[in-house]
Amino acid sequence: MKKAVLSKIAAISAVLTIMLAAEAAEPDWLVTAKTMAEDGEQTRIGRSDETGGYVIAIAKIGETGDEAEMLNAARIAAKRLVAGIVGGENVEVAEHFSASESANGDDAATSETYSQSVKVNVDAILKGAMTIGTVNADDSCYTVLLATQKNADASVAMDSAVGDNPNVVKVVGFAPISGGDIATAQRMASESAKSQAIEQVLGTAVAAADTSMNDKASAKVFASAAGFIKQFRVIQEGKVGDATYRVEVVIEVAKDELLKSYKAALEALGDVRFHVECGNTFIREKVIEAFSEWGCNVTEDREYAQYLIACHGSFQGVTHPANGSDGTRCVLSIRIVDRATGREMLTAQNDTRKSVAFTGDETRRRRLSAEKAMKEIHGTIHGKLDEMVRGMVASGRDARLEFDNYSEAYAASLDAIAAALDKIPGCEAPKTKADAERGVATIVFRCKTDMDTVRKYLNDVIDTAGVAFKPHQIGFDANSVSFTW
Amino acid sequence: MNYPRTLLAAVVAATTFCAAYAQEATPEDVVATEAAVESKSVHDMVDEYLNAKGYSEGENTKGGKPFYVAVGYGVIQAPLENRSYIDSRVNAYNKAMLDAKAKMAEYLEVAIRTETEHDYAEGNFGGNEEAEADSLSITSKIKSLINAKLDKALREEGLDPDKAEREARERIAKKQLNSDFYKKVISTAAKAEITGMQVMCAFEGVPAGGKGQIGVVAIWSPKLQAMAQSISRGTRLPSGVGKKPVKEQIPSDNKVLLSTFGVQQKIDENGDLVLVAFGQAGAVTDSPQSANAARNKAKMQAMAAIREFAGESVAVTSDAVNAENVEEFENAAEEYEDVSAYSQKIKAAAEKMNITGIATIKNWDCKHPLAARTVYGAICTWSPKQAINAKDMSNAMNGAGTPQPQPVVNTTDGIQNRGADGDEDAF
Repeated sequence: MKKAVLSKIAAISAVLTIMLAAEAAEPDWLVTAKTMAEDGEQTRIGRSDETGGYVIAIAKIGETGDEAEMLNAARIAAKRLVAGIVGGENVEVAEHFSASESANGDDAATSETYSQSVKVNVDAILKGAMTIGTVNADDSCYTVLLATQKNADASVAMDSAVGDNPNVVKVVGFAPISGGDIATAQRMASESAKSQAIEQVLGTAVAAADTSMNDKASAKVFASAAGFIKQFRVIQEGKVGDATYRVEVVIEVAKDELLKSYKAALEALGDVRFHVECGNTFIREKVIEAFSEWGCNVTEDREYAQYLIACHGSFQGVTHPANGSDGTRCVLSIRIVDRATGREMLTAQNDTRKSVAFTGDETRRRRLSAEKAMKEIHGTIHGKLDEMVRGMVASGRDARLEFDNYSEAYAASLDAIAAALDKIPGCEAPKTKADAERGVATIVFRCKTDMDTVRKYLNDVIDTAGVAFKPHQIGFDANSVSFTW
Repeated sequence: MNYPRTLLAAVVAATTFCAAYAQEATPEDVVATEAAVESKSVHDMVDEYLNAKGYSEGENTKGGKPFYVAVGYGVIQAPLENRSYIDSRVNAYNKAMLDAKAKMAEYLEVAIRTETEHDYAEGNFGGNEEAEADSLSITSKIKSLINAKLDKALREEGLDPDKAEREARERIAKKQLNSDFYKKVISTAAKAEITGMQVMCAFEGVPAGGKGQIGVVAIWSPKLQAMAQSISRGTRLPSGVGKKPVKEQIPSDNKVLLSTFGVQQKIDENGDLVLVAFGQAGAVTDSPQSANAARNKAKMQAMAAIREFAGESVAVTSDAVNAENVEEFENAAEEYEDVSAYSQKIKAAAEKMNITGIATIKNWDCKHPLAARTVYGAICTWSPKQAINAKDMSNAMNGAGTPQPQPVVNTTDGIQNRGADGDEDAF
């Protein structure tokens, strides 16, 4: 089996060769990273003939708490640094200074006030950024993240090449060895490799918001990777020096498989569920079958679904132009709408000419015609669904905070929550809608992360955002969090 | 206790004085050789620096090309013992820079309003009861009615209710010979978009037992302006003669870095212009989380400096009132009263700007010699080349391919990087 996997590696396209070439230069990168760590340098931007533009970022691995969490936190911190360089640091500064003095006879007084507010936001999608190892300097351990132009090109090429070759990603995972615990380091290195394999194909969404107002500072970083691991083989592993464990693995993440299955991507957004509505039982079954194959969670209960797949199928009689026999054609349209907002996510209609059936009686012809229609629309729907899911991962989707027991007394608190929500990485453009008569209020916003993350951040933010009347959280699903006052 | 503190202050002042010069030469060497210089005020240090350079506040020329020098000062308001002392130093630098920018804004265009009043009077012109009567409000009319009823009641009892007031008025009228009142109001307002202003050098001085100050000598030139526009427009700038790598131009002594703030333009080994931004912050507590937050704040200060260099709107308004009143009396007595007030408000705002390619080339920390608190520092760089590399990568990640290079912009002043002094070549 290992041989088979290796033969696949030999056969993969030039994009993977580029990635391997980057790995071949790995020792130099680590030497560079070690120098950086010793000099207190966090990020370096440069250009080389081998890789094109590159960014190296190092982030200190914490020393207390769960090791896997510390390593992950350092990786996220390093990604935030790279994202800031590549996607840009959105910087806003405001300063106010006033000074006054007055004298009246023997009485004199002076006063001075100064305030400064600095806000920095980062929002980027990283592709081809790899953790290449860990380095030690000044009694601290740093994780090293490398992003190169060629790796990014390779990642994009892999991403866009659908279905040509079965795809395999070769990655190297590193983890620090702490207290001689090889087993833990091995597990952490393997997990790190898996994450990287996913990230190299789908990318990592990185959002960060830092604010500083005089001596108050807050920072939130969110990074998520969505993906799908099919097979995992270790090619080589072992200690690198005394402090690092290295695992070189081949992860079978076939490009076409990955693109076909949105399971992992949708899971990363939370438990996203679809419900199919269709008057024709046969068509309904076929649609459910197709969406389930693509990794969508299809539910029978409309109330638990975030998205409705509305199918409309009808049959029309036709006459064969040559022999005059009776035929049937199927007119099939499929729409996906956000159940809460009614927003149309995608729409597709079949080419009815390709669904005509002339064989058998009316029942058989309808069945054949529906099958042809589904087969014909399958590719279109898949393409549009691909676009929709990628859009949800990359640029966000509509999400809501819903409040009941609302009254006008809570209006200021609702606004404060909306303002706080805007500061959560991955959440933007909140719009409030309140109906005091019905006792309900909603904040609709664009969301790039899963709702579990949002609600956790929200709890922190509500505590610190000066919300006079704090609502209680009573539930959440993939696209909404419910509160009550 | 006083003596060591004085000595320490002298060393700090000397260190920082040298640090300022050090930005242009090799700072460490200067610190080592001039550490015995006695304590000077920040104003003295700035004056000496300007004299040594042959610069003056306002417009200057170098090789026939104009540049503008502005000086600003900010007071470190927090006491040495306060936990926010380090951040207060940063605030003092920011205030000093604001002061310098405000001066630049006023140099570009300022609206000035003055109002002068001089009243001289001899003798007494009597009361102005009629005018008072005209201005009676309903409330005062009610009061007057009540008073009138009370006065009437007093008169019925044989008492004169106006006696005391009349006597006082007569006494004053009799004694006062003349009065001289003078008042002058000056108001100024200026608003300008300041782009491409960098710190030429910063000075920090903390006198024994007194409040410290930070002074900055800021500079603007067409070349700096071109660099600032490069941040917002993504234009490339021509290369000149290379120097040492930027990392080697940065002082390695943390004590020198202590008094280094803001943005400085330097020339790297390839002859490309690079902005180097220095940020500092203090930790609120001694915890590792607080230290991390301080490092982050320091980096934000550095990024804010780059953002401000790219251009910000600065508005400054100042009002000053000076008034005095002298009254002479019969017995040769004289009463003098003065009233004066001054206020200045400066607002600076740099709206959101997405800047790609900012790298953090150094994080440092050290104990402040006086406050015994840790100062966390971050040094960031930005250059058109870094931005292009970052953009290329961003495009690669988005599948847009490598973009066509931007045309090189020839600035009107050109770049002749042949001088011996690194920083002077860079502006």
